[in-house]
Amino acid sequence: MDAVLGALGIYVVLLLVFRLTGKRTLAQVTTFDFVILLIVGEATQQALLGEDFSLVHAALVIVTLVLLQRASDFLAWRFKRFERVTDGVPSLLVSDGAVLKEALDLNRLDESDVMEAARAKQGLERLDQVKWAVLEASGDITIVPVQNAAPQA
Amino acid sequence: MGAMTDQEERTLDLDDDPDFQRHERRVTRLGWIVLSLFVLAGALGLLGPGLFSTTTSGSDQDAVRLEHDRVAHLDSQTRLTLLLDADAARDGTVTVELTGTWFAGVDVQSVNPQPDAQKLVPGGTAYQFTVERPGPAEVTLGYRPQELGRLTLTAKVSGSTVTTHQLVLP
Repeated sequence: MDAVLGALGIYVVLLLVFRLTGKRTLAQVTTFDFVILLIVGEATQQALLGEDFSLVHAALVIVTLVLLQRASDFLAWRFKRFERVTDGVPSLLVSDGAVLKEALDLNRLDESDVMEAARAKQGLERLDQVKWAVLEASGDITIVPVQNAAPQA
Repeated sequence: MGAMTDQEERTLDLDDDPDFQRHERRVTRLGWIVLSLFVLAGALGLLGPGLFSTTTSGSDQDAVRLEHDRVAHLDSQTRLTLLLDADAARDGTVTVELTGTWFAGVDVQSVNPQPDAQKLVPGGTAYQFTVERPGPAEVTLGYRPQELGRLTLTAKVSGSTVTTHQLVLP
């Protein structure tokens, strides 16, 4: 398979795999996840390059992948629906101090994950100090502490 | 608090350079166009195997035609097919003589089907195949280009001569 079509195929496969496995795949990388990612990289390299290790082939694969990513970014910026499909949407985990259990379960998270983010980013000690917690589309958990929350309208 | 104007922003202790940024954006835009053309050329087969990369040298009147990619990559597995006409056989054998810079510039790794004999000829080699039944046939050469640039290959079969070229990129 030629370089451009091969890169396009791998891009679509990786997009599907990482999109379908959920937001937390890359944001919560354990040691084993890291090893798996290395193996994915190795398998991808084999599929992309095959037995052609020439400079032109490698350059074509790299430029194709980068252009696809930039095109995806542009489409996500231009079309909200495309962004939702490729990047996902944020999920509310703690709403006005109330823990949303269903949202946590849906995202395979628990209160300890929220508290971990609360400690790391805001230095909070208890869950009742969290007013809002959001699982962002990037997989990151952002925290708004009770004392920093904007006054309710 | 209202939005900061450009002039107010300039009072910040910020090591930015709007002129440089404008110039950078122009260069970046040009870069994207060049990169897009590069990928397009690759997809079309102008830089190696691709949609329209295969070419066939020789005509239907020739005893042999050569089918290959216009552009190959250095040291990558590549194939060239000899399309032999039904009239190519003489006395139950076909002799294919391959000469030119192509032969010196590639490492031939396989010939399929295997020839019955291989002989040295000036500037190349000659393969001899036994023909089981009369009719068109194909011989495929697997090789890895070892030299950069334009390689020329001349194939001679039953008095018919076909010459082709292949560009080898790094």
